[in-house]
Order: sequence, then C-alpha cells, then structure tokens
Amino acid sequence: MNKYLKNRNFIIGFIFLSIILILAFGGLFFKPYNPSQIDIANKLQGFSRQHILGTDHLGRDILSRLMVGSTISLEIGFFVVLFGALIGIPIGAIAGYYGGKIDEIIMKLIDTLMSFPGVLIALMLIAVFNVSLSIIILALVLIALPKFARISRSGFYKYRESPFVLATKARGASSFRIMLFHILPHLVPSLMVTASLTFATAIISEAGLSYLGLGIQPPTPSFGKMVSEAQSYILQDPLYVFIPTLAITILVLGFNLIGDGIQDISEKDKNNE
Amino acid sequence: MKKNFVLLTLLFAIFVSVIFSGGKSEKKASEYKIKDTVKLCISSEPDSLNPWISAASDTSAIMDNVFEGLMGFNEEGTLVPRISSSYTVSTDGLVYTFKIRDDVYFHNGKHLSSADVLYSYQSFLKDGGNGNYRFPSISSIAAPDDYTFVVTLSSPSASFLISTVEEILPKGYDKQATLPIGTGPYKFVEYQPSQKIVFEANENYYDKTRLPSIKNVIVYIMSDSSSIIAALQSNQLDAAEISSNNADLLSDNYNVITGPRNLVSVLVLNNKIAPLDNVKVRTAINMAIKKEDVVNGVFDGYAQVINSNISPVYKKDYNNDLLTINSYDLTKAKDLLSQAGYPNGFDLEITIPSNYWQHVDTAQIIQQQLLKIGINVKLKNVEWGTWLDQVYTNRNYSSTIIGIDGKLDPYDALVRYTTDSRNNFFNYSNSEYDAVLNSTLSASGQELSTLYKKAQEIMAKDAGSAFICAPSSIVATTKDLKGYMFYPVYFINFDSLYYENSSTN
Repeated sequence: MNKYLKNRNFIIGFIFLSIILILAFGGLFFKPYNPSQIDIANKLQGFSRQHILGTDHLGRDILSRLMVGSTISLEIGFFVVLFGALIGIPIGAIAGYYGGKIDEIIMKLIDTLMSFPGVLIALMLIAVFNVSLSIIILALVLIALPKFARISRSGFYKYRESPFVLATKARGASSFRIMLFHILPHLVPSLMVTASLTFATAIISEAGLSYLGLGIQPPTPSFGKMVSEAQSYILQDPLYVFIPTLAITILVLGFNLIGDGIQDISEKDKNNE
Repeated sequence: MKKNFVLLTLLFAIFVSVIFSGGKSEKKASEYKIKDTVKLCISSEPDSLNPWISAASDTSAIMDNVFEGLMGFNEEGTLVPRISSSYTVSTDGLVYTFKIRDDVYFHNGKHLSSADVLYSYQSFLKDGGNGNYRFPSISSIAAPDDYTFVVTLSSPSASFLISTVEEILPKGYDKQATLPIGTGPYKFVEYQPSQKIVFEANENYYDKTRLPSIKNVIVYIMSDSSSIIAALQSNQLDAAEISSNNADLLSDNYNVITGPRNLVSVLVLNNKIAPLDNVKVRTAINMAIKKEDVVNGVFDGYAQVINSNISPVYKKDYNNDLLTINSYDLTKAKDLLSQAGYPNGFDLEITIPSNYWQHVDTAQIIQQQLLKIGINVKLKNVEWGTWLDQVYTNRNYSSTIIGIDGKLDPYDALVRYTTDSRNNFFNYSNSEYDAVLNSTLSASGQELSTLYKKAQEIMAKDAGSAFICAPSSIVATTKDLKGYMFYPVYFINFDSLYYENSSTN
C-alpha cells in the first residue's frame, strides 16, 4: 500500500474521485432538496446559504442534482466495467491461451466490434429499443468489451508458453486452472489500468449521450444532461454550466490519474523484479 | 466525441470570452460606414427558392420580400392590395373580379399582365399550389383583358381571399429555383448554400409609399442560439430572433422587441383515452396547472397566458374572455377528480419530443403541479420522428406537450379540432364545435369573428386540452435599426426597416 501513497498521480486521482464519492454516497443518505422540486421564483440563483451551488433554470437545487447525477454516473461506470471485464477477459483469455484459428476468429470479431464508433452503436440500440438505463449500459459495455478482450488476449498469449505455465501443465493442471490461478494474477495490474480508463470513458460517453438527449432522460438528473440544459444560459449565468462540467472533469480526470498511477507502480515493480 | 467533449466545452468558453472582449472595438470601425446594409439571420437552410415548391416557414419569411400575390397582408393579418389594385365580388359570392395594376414589372424588367396571373393560377390549380394555401372549389379562371382577372368559385367561401396572397410568378421563366424573380420590393441577388442569401432593393417598385430604405439585405443561416448572440455582439448581425433567456442580457445595448407569435403551447390530452375521455378529469387537469409558472420558468416571462386554441396574434378573432374558465383552483380540481371516480388520482404518461427543450421543461413543471392533485405523471421522452409517428399520425398516446402553429387564416388553426380533421390528433369531438366551424365558411366580417370566438369558448368549456401559453417572438436589433414588424405568419419585412439618422451618417 505504501507504494501507492508515494505515487503523486494516484494520490491526486484518489482525492478527485473521493470528492465525487462523497457527493454520491452522501446523497444516498441526505439531500438538501428534492432534486426534481421546481421553484420558478428562485431560478438561476448563484451560490447562497440556502442553495450552496445555486439553482438551475427551473429553480432546482444544483447540489442535490449533482448528488443524484454522480450516483448515476458511478453506477453506469461500475456496471460497464463489471460486465465489460466479465465478458471481455474470458474471451481474450480463450483467444490468447489457445491461439491459432480460435484466436484469429475471435479477434476478427472483436476488431469488427471495435471498428464501430461508440456513439453509433448507442444510437442503433436506442433506435431499436427505447432509451433506458440498461440500454445505455449495454451500449457502453459493447464499446468497453473489446478493450478488455485485447488486453487480456495479449497477456494470455504472452504467458502461455512461459516456463511456469509449461511446468504447471506438466503437473497435469487443467487449462481452466492454469488460466484462472496462474496467468490471470500476472495480468491484474494492466487490467486494473484498463478498468479505470474504461470507467472514465464510460462516464464521459454517458455524459455525451445525455448531452445529445440520448442518455438519461429528464427529470432524472445526469451530468451530461445538466451541461446541455445549462448551455443556453452560458452568457447569463456561466456558473450554472461550469459546475456540472467541473464535476465531469473531476470524475474523469480522477479515474485517468488513478489508471496512470497504477501503471507507473506496476512498471516500477517490474523493473525491480 | 467522447474525449473531446470537455475540451470542446472549454474551447467554447474561450471563444465566448474572446467575442466579449473584442465586441467594442469592432463597433467603432463600422460606425464610419454608410449604413445601407442590414444583416439578418434565419435558422434553417431554404428548402427551395421557388416559392411554389418551398414549404418551410423560414424560407417564405425572407423570400416573400421578393414575391407578391394578388393581395398581401399587413401586421394584423388583414388583406391589403398588392398586384391587384382592387377587386369586386358578385352578389352571390361566387365571382371575384380582380383589377390588376398596370405599373408592375418583374425584376428582369418584364411587364406584368393578367397572362402571368392566369399562368400562376393555372399552376396552382394543377398541382394544388405549394400546400401553404388552400384553393377551395374554383370552377373557372379567366383573363378577359390585360388588366382583369376573374375567378369563379363553385360555392361561396370566406377563406378564398386569403389564398390570393399566393405568389405570382412570370410566365415562361424556368429558373425560379436558382435565380428567382418576382415583383416585390426586394430583388434576389445570390444564395451561398449554408452561408447567406443576399437581397437588393428594387428601386423601380411600383408602390412609392413602400420604397425600401435599406439598399442591401444579407440573411445569414445560423441556428445555434449562442453563436447568434455572439454575432450580434460583434456586429456581424443587425437584428436576430433570440431565445428568451438571452433577452435580459442584450436589453442594455440593443432594442429588444417582442410580438405575439402564431404558436400555442399545449398540454394535449387524448380525448379518446380513459380517463382523459372524461370532461371532469380534463377540467381538473386544467385547473391544476398554474400557467404563469410555465410562462416564467420556461419562457422567462416572454409568453402570454391563454385559454384558447388559437394565438392572440389573430387580434380580431382571439377570444380574450376565456381565462376565467377553469382557472387555477386545486380544491375544485380535487373535487372534480373525486366526482369522476379518481379520488386518489391516477397515472398519466406525457410523451415529449426530446429535441424541444421548452416542451421538456414545461413537462417537468406540469409533472410537479399535477402531483398536487394526486396525478402521477410519467414522462416519456421520444425522438421527433417517433413523436410524429406515435402521437401525430397514429394517435397512440395519452398526452403530450407540443407547440401548435397556425396559418394566416384563423380557420386553419381552428379546423384541426373538428371531428373529421386529418390533423385532429387530439381526438377532440364535439358536434357543436363542428357546426360552428362549418357556419364560418359562409360568414364574413363581424359575424365571422363572433363565430371564431364562439368556437374557442366551446373548446375552453370542454377542456379539450390544456392550452397553456402563446410564446412571444423576441428580436434584438441594434439601437439605430427601426421598423421591425411582426406578422401573424413568420415574415421579416425588409421594406419597413430603416436606420434612424441614417441620412446624417
């Protein structure tokens, strides 16, 4: 743990992330106002004691909306990483460990999936089904999955012929056992990096989709929707658009820095080996 | 798009601040120029320069400075003579005889005669015009001499005259779509796709009282509201329609003028879906909506509260006495719901086209308001195409929020609520309403207005839907530009524009 505390990237990333985590978890227990409560008389108020971060164009409390928005962003990021990893890593493992024809077929399929722009996949899914949280997560998982598969495939391919794997194989261990207990642990650092970067990408993709009106639907607040709603007030009340934009920046930067930190540390470990 | 998102936001902020700081110095430079040019903008690309093909209101708003019909309209929507100096109607109301002016020339120098009018009307009757105006049951048209044009109807029609604003084009000219010509006070000069359309004053215009004061008019194509504001502040535009949230921002350095728009913001209730088929339920919904909140919250006060299915833009025909019907009263609304058998309210789904943020915001306000009488609103955001398909075409919805626009003739706005109307996606049906609208066809003058008002009253008492407000048009112009006028249909009249003190510059 000590080595993580010495890494500047990791520390800053962790602090950034904590801000959002406090907002999100704090919001589960206590919110200053109902985030959908409209109060026209108090719209577009700046920072004040009643509304710490001010109110939006319909007089809703921005802090309360950020709390709900961050929960949703984290929820989406979490499920995208979870499902992306659960599906992507085994696919990559099979391709990399067995190699040959299987590898070729699986990786061609993954490359096909990768060649679709993310937003296009999301658009197609939303056109077929109606917009809902699960469809957004599904779309983002399809975008995240190839990254996990590629990282996992290259790792398994690298270690499948290494002496300790051959030795274990000679001892009669099953392929499943070798993959899960002997190769996978070596890939944890690089998969962790992928996970944190995917988390960031998922959050910003959701913000982008919501900004375009294809993501989380009103009245549920989300970072991207808040930015797009605030955009038309940018000249009147710049703070209104600044706050949700800052929230997205902090959250995404946080995950990116943590990812960088883990990478630094694992490289240092490797050099020390 | 994903990673660039934050970057773009930042860039945009920098761009805006640059515009702010640069605005003042540029203003000085332009003060030395002689002011004979007005720079305006419209939000969408023209669909066709040929007025008979074009159907977009943005296009006709500017191109109708180039073209004219037998008659034109003024800012009250009243018909005024244009190409025809006068007309007479036979006593049975069937034969209209138009006297054509003898001093009208097309922009290419060709003299206008009744042959051009005849050619134009033959085309209208052949393809039914461009769909902007209806030509009711014309049995024959004729041009007995060079300056007379006669239309014979098969049955009397009050709305025939309105259709005579349809544009007259020269006979035997086939380049209307690329180099359009008409008889109007402005000539078309050039069109650069997705950039601008340029017009020039027609110095030979026949009506000397309407001779243009501005020599050149350039209309830019701009849709983003922030870039319109930036362009205004950097003097790249002299006048532009702006959104309500920017009105206060500009009111110090610009003239911000407002006028009614032919648009009605409505919470549409599908009259055939339970429980909305019950008039008590619809009345309760009407009574629970505090329309002022929508006006202030969504339109920043730039809208007029109404309880009529047409906009106050029809000054003669709008019924101003309906606001007391089903006015805001939560206790009564709850009573009505109990009487209708829903003492604890019910669930209501509102389908909203998500591309219109005004409707999305209105829906969120109404959601909160209806909660107070126990109606639990679920918002269903759909794309515009889905909205058109599900709501407008197939009428498969319970309620929706939409802006309903009207044409020059109030009849067109009212007729969509009749039982058999193709556009009656409200599923509203009242035989009394149908009968009143039918009797307007043969009425005229004061009697016609009374009938139109009667129809609005029936609608309000029936609580056919919840008619919320009529949003205003808001235009910001530079301080010295005067004469911007609002019309019942979207039209930017170039020839009424002038610069104050422009002679001294």
